[in-house]
Amino acid sequence: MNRLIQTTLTMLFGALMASNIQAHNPRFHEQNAEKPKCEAMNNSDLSAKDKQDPVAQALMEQCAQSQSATDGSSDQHAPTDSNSSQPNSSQSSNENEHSSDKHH
Amino acid sequence: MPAKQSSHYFKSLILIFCVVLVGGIVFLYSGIYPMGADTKHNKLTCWILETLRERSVARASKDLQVPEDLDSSSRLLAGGADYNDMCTGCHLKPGQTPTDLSQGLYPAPPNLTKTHDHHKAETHSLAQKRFWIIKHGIKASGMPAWGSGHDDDRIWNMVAFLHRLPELTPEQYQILTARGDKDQGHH
Repeated sequence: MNRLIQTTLTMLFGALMASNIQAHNPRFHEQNAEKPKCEAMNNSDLSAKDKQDPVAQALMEQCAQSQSATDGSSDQHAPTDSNSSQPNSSQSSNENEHSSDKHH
Repeated sequence: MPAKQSSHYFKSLILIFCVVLVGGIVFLYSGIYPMGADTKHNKLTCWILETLRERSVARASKDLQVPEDLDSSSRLLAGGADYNDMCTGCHLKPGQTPTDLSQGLYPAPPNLTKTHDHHKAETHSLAQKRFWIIKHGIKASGMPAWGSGHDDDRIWNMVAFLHRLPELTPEQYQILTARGDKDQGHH
């Protein structure tokens, strides 16, 4: 009987500790996560920013990731016809621009 | 005669000590102290508490090793998302008006989007203090100790983000803090 109580208490304590460690797991925020609104970058003066600046690098990195994720998901459904991908061409050029900026 | 004077002096001291002690206990149990957060401390109490807090944090954080890559883009991205989830309710974000929490808490939480002007040496000690405060919290202030559920590296990421936060526009802030399509790699 004592062993049963001990086991139950140990399991409860373990579960409590595990939930504490998972207190702020980023996965909990996935459902409500916003996507970066990178179109705002086009109107900003980012081009005037120092490309070595970590903030500028982080912005470009974030938007490049976002863009590649968008392209990846759209590629799964996109037809192979090159004309049909025309509307995304400006975004792709942006991505290339961001990617090349990262290496400066 | 001097011995008699000395004895009288010590008796007076003991009497004063006892009166202050008893008076303090009576005050403690009387319940007349205004505990509400909407009743501000007087200047003396403010000074005592702030000095106590600042000296304690400075002493406890002075030997912390600040990571050399604190000002890196990866730390900014990782710390930004956590700041957005955990801190904006009290410490605000660019373009945000004061919230019920930021206005109602006492002592008022600092608005971390405001520009700070520190020398390099101060920036180093500020990073140490911020890390310590995020990790351990501050008693009776509403600032929780995040160290129980967040490892040191994750806390340093938030410190890195705080360092650049005042110069971000609302648009830049949104991009840097969005978890969106980000994978779990930052943590």
